Amino acid sequence: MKKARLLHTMLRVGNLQHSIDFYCGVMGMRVLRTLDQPKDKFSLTFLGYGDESKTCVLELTYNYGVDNYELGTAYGHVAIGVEDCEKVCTEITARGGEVTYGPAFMDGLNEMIAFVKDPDGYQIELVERPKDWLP
Amino acid sequence: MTEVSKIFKGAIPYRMLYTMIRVTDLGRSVAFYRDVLGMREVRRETFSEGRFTLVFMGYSNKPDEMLIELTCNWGDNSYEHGTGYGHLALEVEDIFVACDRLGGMGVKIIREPGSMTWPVDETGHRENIAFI
Repeated sequence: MKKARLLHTMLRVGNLQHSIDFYCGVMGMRVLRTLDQPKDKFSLTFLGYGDESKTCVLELTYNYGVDNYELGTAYGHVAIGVEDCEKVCTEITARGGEVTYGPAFMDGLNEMIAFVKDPDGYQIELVERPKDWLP
Repeated sequence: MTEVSKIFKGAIPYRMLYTMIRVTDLGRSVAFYRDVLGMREVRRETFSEGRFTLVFMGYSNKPDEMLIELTCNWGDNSYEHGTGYGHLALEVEDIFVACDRLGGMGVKIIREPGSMTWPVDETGHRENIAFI
């Protein structure tokens, strides 16, 4: 393969509006596009921090009438970069989000991380790194 | 910068870094993402005390590039896939050539490449897709 890149991560959600409220209202993403397909009873919503042509985004799939899924143990989380992890956690809590871990400084990695839970229970990692973290 | 992001400067997440999945056989997974999907190992962290290894795979090591984080726990590491997580999507230049190549390498093509069977959305976005 000559050229490839990661486009999106797809997660199935039980209540699309709750998820959109969370990812936009709490996590600061915006809805980039939607595709509702009543005939096949599903709806896709793409959300992210930037244009899909440049950044990797999240695809939320809502299957009509299915309000919950088995989360399993293989899938872990999506990690999201933040400028100020403590500030983001305070803001998320104020907006009704649930911080499940941290903020905590990871000595070995020189980064501050926290975990939050989305409405379906998927974990999201927040990562704050110094500007010169990567060479 | 919009008004809102000025007010909440630093308090709003701003980009996706990576998606983490747990794997059973790290060597096999790294080989798959590297040799079959063409990624490279961007970095590796070994935690002897916590008994796990993290390997970050991606198409470039530019700081703003989205990566896949493979977590391998050294002890019990068989996992349930569940029904919530769907998939990762990769963009390729030529999906037909890509699937030919993958098929030739023994990768099972779950959905043969072709156009989506539903109409284009409001953005007029058109694409061919395949699943492996």
